[in-house]
Amino acid sequence: MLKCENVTFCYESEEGENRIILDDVSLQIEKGSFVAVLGRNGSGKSTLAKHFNGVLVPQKGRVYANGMPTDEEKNLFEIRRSVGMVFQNPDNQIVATTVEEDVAFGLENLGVPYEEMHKRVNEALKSVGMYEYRHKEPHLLSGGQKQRVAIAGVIAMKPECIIFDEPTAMLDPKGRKEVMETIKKLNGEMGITIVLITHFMEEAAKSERVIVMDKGKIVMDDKPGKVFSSVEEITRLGLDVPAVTKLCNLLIKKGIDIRGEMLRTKECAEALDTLLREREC
Amino acid sequence: MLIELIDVSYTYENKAPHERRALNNVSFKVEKGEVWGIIGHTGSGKSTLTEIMSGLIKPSGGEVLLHGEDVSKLKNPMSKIKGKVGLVFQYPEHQLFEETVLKDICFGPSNLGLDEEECIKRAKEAMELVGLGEEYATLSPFELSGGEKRRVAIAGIIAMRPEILVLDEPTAGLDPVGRDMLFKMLGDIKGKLCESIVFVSHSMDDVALYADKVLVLNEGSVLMQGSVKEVFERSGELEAAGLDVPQVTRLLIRLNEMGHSFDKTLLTPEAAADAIYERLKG
Repeated sequence: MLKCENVTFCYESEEGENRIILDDVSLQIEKGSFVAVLGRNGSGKSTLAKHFNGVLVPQKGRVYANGMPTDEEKNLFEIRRSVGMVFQNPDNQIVATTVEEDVAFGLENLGVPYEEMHKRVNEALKSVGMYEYRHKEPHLLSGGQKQRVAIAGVIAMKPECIIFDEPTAMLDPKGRKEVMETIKKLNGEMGITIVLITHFMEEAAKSERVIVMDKGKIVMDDKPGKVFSSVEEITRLGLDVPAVTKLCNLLIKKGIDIRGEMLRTKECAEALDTLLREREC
Repeated sequence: MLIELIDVSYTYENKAPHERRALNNVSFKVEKGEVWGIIGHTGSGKSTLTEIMSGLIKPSGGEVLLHGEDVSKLKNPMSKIKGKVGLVFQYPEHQLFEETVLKDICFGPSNLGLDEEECIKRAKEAMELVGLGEEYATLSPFELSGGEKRRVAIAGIIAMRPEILVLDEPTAGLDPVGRDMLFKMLGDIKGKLCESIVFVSHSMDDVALYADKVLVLNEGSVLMQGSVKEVFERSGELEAAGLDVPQVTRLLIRLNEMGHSFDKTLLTPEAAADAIYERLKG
């Protein structure tokens, strides 16, 4: 679905110095997968994301979206339709005066006929659970609701892939949960490829594959269980592991035999329950 | 006591068709030396409360006592509160505007009517406290990274030497290292300059780790307040109100439901690991 070949990207500072943001990054993301990208502020995550649909074009190397190179201008229209993006701040992404019109904005730009547009807007709003709000004014919605409207606007374009750049950073726990449930549904039920950039380790733990970036390079790329079991490595990179993973790791260090992937509260509680019961016998 | 709110209420667009009650009879007080975490949903009144504490808006009802004096009825509460309570807004880095970091930080103190020399002295003191070296003084704030910009913005407030520093979601958008650095910095500031700190957060983990006292707001009213331990002992109520409790607390609650008995006010992985280890080996 998405492919980067030896991608290098630099920003030039005012003094004319080059700051390398992406350093020879190669990567392939399969159709239908759910990939989380982690890394500190400034590690290159967002810059990488902007390469996936040609907002940025690499200075060296190439990026392919759905097989189309992003550096060829003739492809851009189709690439931007098939690879949608949702950003951090919902307020910056909402343009119209009603929810419905906002979702229709992208379709109007594509020149989709009225009937078809109506159908697609309704479907998109239903898929994010915002259909009942279609006539509301966006500024009256909560952060999580606004973000779901922004997602609906992307879905209406029928993309094969959506890049989420810290979509929950500005939301409260409830809004975060709503957005994460929507993302999981898009991936699970509609088969949309998901790339999720996040600072929240509990969110990354819900993906199938975690890519960790540091100083413009990919330093880890594996299943969440594998990535988070390297607690020292993750901490050294300036990231956290989920609190229960950290707890189990501390117990393992003290000599307790805990096996398996301890990412979620439920698994962890079950494993500890078994150990505590064995001890009582 | 530094500041005390007694039965404070606030209604947006009072008596207008869109009238909306944001705060309902909220009472709480900040004593010298305390760090308070304010937690609640979006729309629970957290930001409104910070604006009342710092005198930006007047309460519709109730009293705001600063050092025992009711400032809420004054025609201009700002004149009394200014310089005493410093408010750092959400994403404060968006408000930087001056040509250099030093000038930007001097803006607050210069509005207190201090002369230039004193402003610069205070700005330099503030820069040191937030960990910005002297080399930053002449840089444009717009050349800095997001984390550095946020520190400049905070320095601009503490250069006014407020007794209470109030921060609205100070860690939003920061990575874990940035978050830890920010709280460490707040600890330094509290030791050296401000008497007390009040911060608003969405993260129960942050509150659990860094606050002494917690105020939980729900739909404009106080749901609970007290020490971190007291509040997290009622974690069931917090969850029922749709608030996030720390993951470690969720784990301990689940273990207790399975028939074990752990102290569910252990908030950190370290403390919980020790308790579980003792049970396994004890």
